[in-house]
Parts: sequence; C-alpha cells; structure tokens
Amino acid sequence: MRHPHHPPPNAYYGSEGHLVTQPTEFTVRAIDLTRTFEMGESTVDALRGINLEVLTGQFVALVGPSGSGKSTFLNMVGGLDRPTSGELWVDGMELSTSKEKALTEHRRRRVGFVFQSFNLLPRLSALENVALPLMFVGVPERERLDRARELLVKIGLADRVDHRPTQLSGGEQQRVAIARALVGQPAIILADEPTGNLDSATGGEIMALLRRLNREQGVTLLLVTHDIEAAAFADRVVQLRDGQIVSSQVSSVKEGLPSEHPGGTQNVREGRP
Amino acid sequence: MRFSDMFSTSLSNLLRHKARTALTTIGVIVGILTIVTMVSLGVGVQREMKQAFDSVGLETLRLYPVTEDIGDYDLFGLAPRTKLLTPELLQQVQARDDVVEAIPYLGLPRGMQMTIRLDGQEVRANPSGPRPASIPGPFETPPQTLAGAENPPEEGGGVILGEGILDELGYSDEALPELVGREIEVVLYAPRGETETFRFQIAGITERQWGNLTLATLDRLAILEWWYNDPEYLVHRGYDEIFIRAGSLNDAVQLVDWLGGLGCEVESLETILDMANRGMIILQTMLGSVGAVALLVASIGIANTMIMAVYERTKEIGILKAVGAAPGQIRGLFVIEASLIGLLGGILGVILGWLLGRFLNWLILEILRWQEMPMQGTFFVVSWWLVLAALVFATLVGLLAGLYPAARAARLAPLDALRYE
Repeated sequence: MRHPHHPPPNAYYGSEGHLVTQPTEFTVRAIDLTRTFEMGESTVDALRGINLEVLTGQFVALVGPSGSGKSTFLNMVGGLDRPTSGELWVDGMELSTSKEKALTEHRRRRVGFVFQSFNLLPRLSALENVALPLMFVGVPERERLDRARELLVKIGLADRVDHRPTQLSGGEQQRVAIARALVGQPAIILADEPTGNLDSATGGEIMALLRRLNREQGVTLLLVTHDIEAAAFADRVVQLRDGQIVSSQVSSVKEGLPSEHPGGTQNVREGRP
Repeated sequence: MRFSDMFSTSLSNLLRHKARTALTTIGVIVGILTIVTMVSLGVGVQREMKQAFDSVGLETLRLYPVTEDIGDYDLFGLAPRTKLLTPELLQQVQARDDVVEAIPYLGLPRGMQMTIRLDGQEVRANPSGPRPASIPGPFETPPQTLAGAENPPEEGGGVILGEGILDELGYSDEALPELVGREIEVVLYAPRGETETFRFQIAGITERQWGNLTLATLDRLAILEWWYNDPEYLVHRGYDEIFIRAGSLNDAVQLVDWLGGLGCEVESLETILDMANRGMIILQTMLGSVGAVALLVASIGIANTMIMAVYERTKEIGILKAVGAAPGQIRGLFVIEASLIGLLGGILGVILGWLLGRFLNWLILEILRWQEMPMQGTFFVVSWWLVLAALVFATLVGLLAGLYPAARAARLAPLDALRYE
C-alpha cells in the first residue's frame, strides 16, 4: 500500500492529536492520480496529479469551481471511473488496475453513493430503495428489509417507510438515499453535491445528519460540494482547481458539534510541490 | 443475487408497461397458437391412424398376385397374371407354423351388373365385401350391425345387406330384424345376354353405406365362375389377395422374405405404417413451420421492446450499477424479462391453441354429422410433450431475442448511464 517515493502518510498529520501515536489508517489514498478525457480530437486533463489521503473516520470535503475535477475524483474513488495514471487505494484495494468484476465488488462492499439528484428508483418504496443494494449481494429479502427499516428508523423516517420517492420531500428523499448508501456498511460514503437540489435549511439538516453519522457511527465521508456552508461541516476541506489540489485545511470547529481536532484551522499543503 | 429476486424484479419490470408487454406477447401467442394447433392436428391424425393399424395388428401381411401391365389381356379385359395366388399356395401358407391364419379374398369386377329381388321387388345391388381385416380409415366410425350377423357365413349361402338397399325396397328400420333369415335372390346380368339367379339367406343387416351386398368368398367364387364362364376360375386366375396373420412381428418379417422368394408381391402393414408416418412428419413439419415464421417475427418484436426498455431505463441501470449490480446481473434481469415475455406468450398460446383445437374438433364433427359422414374421433390432440415443447420453445425464443438488448444494458458505462436523462 505504501508508495516508496512518498513520505509516510502520517507525516502530514503529525499535529493532529492521537494520530501521531498510533499507525495511521487510510480509507482513501491517491498517488499522482491523473484522468484525461478524450473529447474528439482534443484531450481534457480533468485531474493532473492528485495526491490525497482520507483517514478512516474522517470527513473530508472537496471544494472547487465547476470543472476543477472534484466529481471526477469522487467517481474514481467510487469505482465508477478509472484513472488514466497513478495509484488509487480505497480501503486496501488498488483501483487503477482493477478489473470490472473487482470494481463491481468495490461498489458493493466499500463505497456508498449519495447523489445530488437522489437517484432513487421511483417505483420502489423508501424501504425497498434502501434495501436494493443488498439484493445484489444475495441477502434474503426479509433480512434486507429488516436492515433497511432499522436504518430508516435511525435516520428519522420511520413513518415514511412505505412511501414512494414522489411522495417524499427533497430532504426526505436524500435521507433515504443516505440510508441506501449506508445499508451495505461501506468503508466510505461518497456524497456528490448532496445539498445541491435542496433549500439551504434542508441542506443544513442533511449535512448535520452526515456529520452526526460521521461522529456517532465513525462513517468515513468524502463530500464534493461548491457550497461553502456544506463544506464547513467537514473535518478537512480540500480545494481543487484545474485538476490540482490548491489547498487543504482542517476546518474551524463548528459550534455545537464535538470536534476531534481542537487545534482549529491549520493550513497544510497537500501533495508535493 | 438470488434467482428469486432476479425473477421478481424482472417480472415487476415487465408489468410496468402492461400495454406494451401485452402487444409484444401477442406476437408470441400467435406463433405458439399456430404451432400448437397445427402439430396437435398432426398428432391427432397420426394417433387415429396408428389405432386403425393396431386394430388389425402389425404382424399382418397382404399377398397379391403379380400382374403384368403389358401382355395379352383376355376377353374380359383382365391383365395377365404371371404369379397366381392358387389354392395350393394358400394351403402351403396355411401349413406353416408361423402363420396364425391366412384368409383368401376374391374381388368382384366393377362392371358386374347385379340386382337383388325380395318380395317381387328388384333393385340394383352394389356388391362389395369386407376385405379380410381391412384397416378402418382414420376417424371412420365402424359400421354398426343392425340385425343378425356381422359377416356372411364362411361356408357360403348367406349375405349381409346394407340398410340403404332395404330402405330402397321400402322396409322401415323397425322391420329390419324380421328380415334376417329370409331368402333373397341375387340376379346377375352378363353382357353376353344371359342371366343367372343365386339364392341366399339374409344373414345380417349393417348400416354400412358403401357396398350394400356382402358375400362370402365361396359365393363370390361361384359368381365369378358363372360370370367368366370358367369352372376352373381359381386355377386360371387365383385369388386376388391373401391376408396373412403371422405369429409375431418377427415371423412377419421372415414371411415377407419367404414369400418374396416365391415371387409373390407382399405388403407388410409395418411398411405401410412407416410410409404413412413419414408422410405425417413432413406434413407436421410444414404446418409447424408456419408457426415458426410467426415466432421469428415475434422474436423481433421482443428484441425491439427490450431495446426500448434499455433506453428507457438507462439512468436506472446506472443507479443499479452504482449500488453494486454486476454487469452479469443487469444482463440476467433483461434476459429473464425477455424470456418471461416468451413464456407468457407460450402459456397463452398453448391455452388458446388447445381451445382452438377443441373448437375446430367440434366444428368438424358438426359438419360431418350434418353431411352424414360416419366419422368420429379427436382430430386435435394436445399432448403433454407438445405443451412442454411449446413452452420451452417460446421461452427460448424470448431468451434469444433478449440476448442482444441485455448485452447492451450490461455494457453501459455506469457513469454515462447515471448522467443519461
């Protein structure tokens, strides 16, 4: 997993309390990651050498303008796309050389997606939508519905279990989508603009929920957003521009939320010069 | 992914567009219905034919004299026979251990003019005799004996009359039993101007339509001897046919060889059945092909519907892949969905084909009864293997039609599919 030409990954986070004293665990580690799209005769460099680590249990927000490559990175972590070069490790598996079958397995076991447009199946109930990922790994129907119901109760949708997505508000739909992402107990939740289709109050609720899951359940979160308020919920905010990381800072402590990082805001250069 | 989940998911996908599914299914229904109806007709006819043959027994042979097509025809216009079925040959056959029975038959010439007289009335008779162990035609109702014996007595002197001729003579159905045992005169009119009268007792009355006068072989011989003015008729012409029942099918095969060696013309029932069966198979194949063409068209319809479904559900496929569906699972969902269209069409096609067969059966019998044709039986037989084969075939057609659309769905890149609107 370690790359010989890189410093030990915990070197960057030496100041982050407990991480220094115990071996650092990474859920995501990208090394010199690039992604080039062929658009007819021209090529577009969406990512130009990304070096980024997401610690297990960390909540990281990727921010940046449109076309900065943040969604491209997220999709690669989720196994929906492959890097052009570089290495990408997620929960101990290297994705850049993985075969289709391994990527399917990756999507099943290691990641859970939360999309901007919720992407629930309209003809299934909230319960069935949440249980859906378990169907593909062969969990019996009763068991997967039980697990889905448990999650929906936990997320505060106990009375919406049998509703169709069209009968739910945007915030409720996104909660269902979050439950669906969690149902397979993945190593990381990937959220692509989860508040993009919601008003700011509802968006705040969704972010608070994600934060709560991160804190209480220890769910690792990678968030892509251009919403500064949403990004503020994260432990660390990584800024991208033109396919490169331009800054990475541990965000300020949010009032009312417990923080594991009492050090406050720190500027840390991510990646190599 | 469990098969039950795959199946129920495919089924619910199918039921999402009920009208479209129904329309696509109609193609399969028409194809399967045609195949089932056509093949069941073939099966029905074949079964009826087999029953007819079985009633006689496959271990039977028919022996014919060898006739020369070219040569010196006699005064009566009869072709010369190079191999005669003489009484000696008959005895030789009857003496064999592997022969159970050997029955000679003599036909009466077609141009023979003959009448019967009863109570001073005279009507034209149409002599026809049951050939020994004749095979009933398919679907033919065996004629009922209305009074007396079924066959004329072997020792001669008795006749079986058709009810038609008695009707002509003015006897009602109720009077028929009283006629048994009465004497009738059979009058022959030879072209040379002579007439001769033969006396017989009425041995029985039958409802048989064709041939209203049945005579024993011995009496036929007497008639022929007078007709051809040849007391040695049997020596000169021999029998027209000898029916032989062998001890077993194996004996029959050996008898064919032996009789062939003697220079006779032999026909075994097995060879006739074989030929008839081969003809039926060709007929069935031709009829079945009509349905196969209909199914081919149906399969194009299924493929079209499934391709439409892939386009419609592109985004959904993207979502399924994002939450962990493998390409093989996506392919499976679409293949099962297409197969279900085939199976559904197959089930409905079999049911409708069976109903159509029953209806046609009823209709044919009604028409036959109306035309007073003595026929009965089941023309359309839907056997369990036909049901099974039709269902398997229909499902297979759906499956094959679904392969390409399913492969397309499985190949979709998840990211592109997710972005598809």
